[in-house]
Amino acid sequence: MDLPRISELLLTPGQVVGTLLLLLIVLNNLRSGRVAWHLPAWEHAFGYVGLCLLIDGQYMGLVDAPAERMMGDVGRILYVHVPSAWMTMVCFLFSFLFALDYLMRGKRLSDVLVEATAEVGVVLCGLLLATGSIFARPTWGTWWTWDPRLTSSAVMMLAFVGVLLLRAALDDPDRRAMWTSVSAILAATSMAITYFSVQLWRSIHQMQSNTQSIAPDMVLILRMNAFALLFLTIWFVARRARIGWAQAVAEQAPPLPPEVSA
Amino acid sequence: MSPEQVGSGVIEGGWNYVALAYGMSWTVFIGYTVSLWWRGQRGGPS
Repeated sequence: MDLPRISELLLTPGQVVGTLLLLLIVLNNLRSGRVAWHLPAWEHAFGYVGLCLLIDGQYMGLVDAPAERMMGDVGRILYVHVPSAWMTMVCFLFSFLFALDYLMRGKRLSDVLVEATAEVGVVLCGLLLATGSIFARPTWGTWWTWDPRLTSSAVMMLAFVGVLLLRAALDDPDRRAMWTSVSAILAATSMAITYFSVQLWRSIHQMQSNTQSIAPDMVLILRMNAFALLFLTIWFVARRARIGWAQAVAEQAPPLPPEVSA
Repeated sequence: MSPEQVGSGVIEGGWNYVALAYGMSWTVFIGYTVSLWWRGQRGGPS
């Protein structure tokens, strides 16, 4: 792409957006006449850094990154596809861990976090499958093939969609939390199948890469996009968990006395 | 539309696929953020 490299810019696109965002927040505070500045929710710091990193990371993926040796410019999809795969796995892994924690300790917060991580994982897995499909068209000549890695990834997403559907179908909070945890643990078995699918079966998908098998100038950009998505994932999960927590608190609130509810 | 594969096996072109993938990532992030905001407004967190 015919744009200056990020190191040649006076301010990176992420810095420009970050500064504008800060200015907007300050102006909004001044306009609303708030004197006492309240401390925003902690996760917004992750969202802010994640957004700025993502803008710069994607700029570098489009401009700074070298064309891949065989895939050419199409290889730039890697900087979106691979981080979304990593973060999908992170979300589902934490969903599994929170589910175990709920079954062992019965904490309501763990139940809320199982739901939040499963939902964000499903969203990221959807992005993973969509970008994978776009990647497959020019490189494999097809939008979709029933390859072990692709099929197991789709099954993994459907398994966690099932967890969320089951959760939505149950009314009793305790039963819902228990069945969410049990189903999330069952769904998490698909993670291992997805991860090892390229080694267990003949797959058109490449094996797992490491820092030795990727060119150094690609590693930095890949890491930058991965950290951007990690921070955004933390922000998404925390925001989703706050919604779930508010619902859990509302469910546990005592019913209104008859004279008020009438 | 589709990139051409030349004799060396290197794929040429394909920027439309790159734009589609990057655009899709922003669509998902913005869409999910709006969904969280909307659900938060309906009775979620402050």
